[in-house]
Amino acid sequence: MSLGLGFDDVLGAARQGAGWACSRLYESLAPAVAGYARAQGAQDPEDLTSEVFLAVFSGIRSFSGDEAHFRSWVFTIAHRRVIDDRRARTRRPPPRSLEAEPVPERRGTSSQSAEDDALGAMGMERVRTVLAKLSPDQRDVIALRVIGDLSVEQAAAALGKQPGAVKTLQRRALATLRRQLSAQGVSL
Amino acid sequence: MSPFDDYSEDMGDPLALDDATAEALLRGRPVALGSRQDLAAVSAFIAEMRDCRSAPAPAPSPALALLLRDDAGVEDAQVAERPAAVSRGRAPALPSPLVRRRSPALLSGWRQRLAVAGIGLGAALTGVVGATAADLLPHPVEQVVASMVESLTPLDIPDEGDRDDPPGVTDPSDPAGGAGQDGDGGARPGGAGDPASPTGSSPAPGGGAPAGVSPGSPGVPGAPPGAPGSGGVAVPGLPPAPAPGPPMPPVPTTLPGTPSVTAPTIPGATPTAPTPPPRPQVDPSDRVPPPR
Repeated sequence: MSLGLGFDDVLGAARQGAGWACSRLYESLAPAVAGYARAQGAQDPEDLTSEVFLAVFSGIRSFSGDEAHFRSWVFTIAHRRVIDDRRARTRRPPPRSLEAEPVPERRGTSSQSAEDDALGAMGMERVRTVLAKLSPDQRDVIALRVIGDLSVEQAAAALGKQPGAVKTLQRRALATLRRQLSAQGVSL
Repeated sequence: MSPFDDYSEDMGDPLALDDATAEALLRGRPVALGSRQDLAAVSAFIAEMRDCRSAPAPAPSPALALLLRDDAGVEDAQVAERPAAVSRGRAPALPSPLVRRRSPALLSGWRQRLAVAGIGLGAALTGVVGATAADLLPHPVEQVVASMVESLTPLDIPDEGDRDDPPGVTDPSDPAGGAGQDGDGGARPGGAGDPASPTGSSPAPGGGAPAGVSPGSPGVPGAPPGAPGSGGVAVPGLPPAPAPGPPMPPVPTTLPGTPSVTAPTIPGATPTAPTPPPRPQVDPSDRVPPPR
């Protein structure tokens, strides 16, 4: 969801601490952030999403830029939280497999039907299963570019890599996906 | 080489993707598949990934919900954020500069700085007063500090004049005879001090008496300091002692630390004052400056 022309007004109000403006920003980007966290196999995607936006609203006074920059900034924070979550999971005693991890039930989706929830959960589970075949770097690039809707340059900035390295990673990731999907014969 | 490193396959794969095709796939733009039907599954998978971001926003955590209220400010969220972050064992994000100014934790930081500054100031004052009492500071500084301390506190810091007076030197402005008022001047090592006493040291014109010899008339109340026959130690600011009177017969000196011996009274000598009772020998270095 894009805020479009009203972004500057919403951002200005959010800088002043207006709750409605923070809600608008949250509603526009929280689904993508939560999807990014789920695709990355975060342990608690909803909680991670809330942490991301708490950090965003804490530092929003120092942010300046347009909506694309804001989106890139939010996903940079989200990526760092995902990395923290990934490290925390590796330190915890019973490591949970990314493939075997169940998709948590969505909160606050009363507008959706149970069938939509089930289909969405199944689709998310498939996405996570396939993405688990990628290397962490390839998964980061694909997730940021597709779910985060970032450009090559923005993804490179979020990952701390050169744009050329991001292009190489995405090319290899797509090649791996092609091989994996062809071998499985999965019809998505 | 990691199991995910497919660089070698990327080099010679005839089905490898070019950047334009990869960009079109990732952006969801239509791709002319043509002979690349193998990419159809990839394109469908990318579309399914894209659907992941179209779900409704998840319910915010209680801390975030507090922030998203219409009447909530960023500062409220800062207060509410900390318990949530701590409960997950993560460091909370740094607040913005404006929030940081109003943070209670940083207000306590200012208090801490003030407390440290107060402790430092107190330590410095203690050091200056102590140095003044120990006579380590230059005299003008010491006078200033001593006057301040004496005006503010009941303490009495001895000044340089009190400390620099050699033992037994009589203050000429003191009509009571200074050190002689307690009568112990005659018990100096060597028995010096009483000009009327035969135990007085031999006169030293020009103040050549050894240190520790009382120049005045200790033990003789009312005797003027520097009177003829008094020990002869030159005191700065005082006129030189006049020539001594007739030489006294030599008297054996007493070594410091030896028991005092009461000097015999010479017949015919003018009894100016009763001989003070014998007192134990006192080491000059052990003398404490008289109270002011």
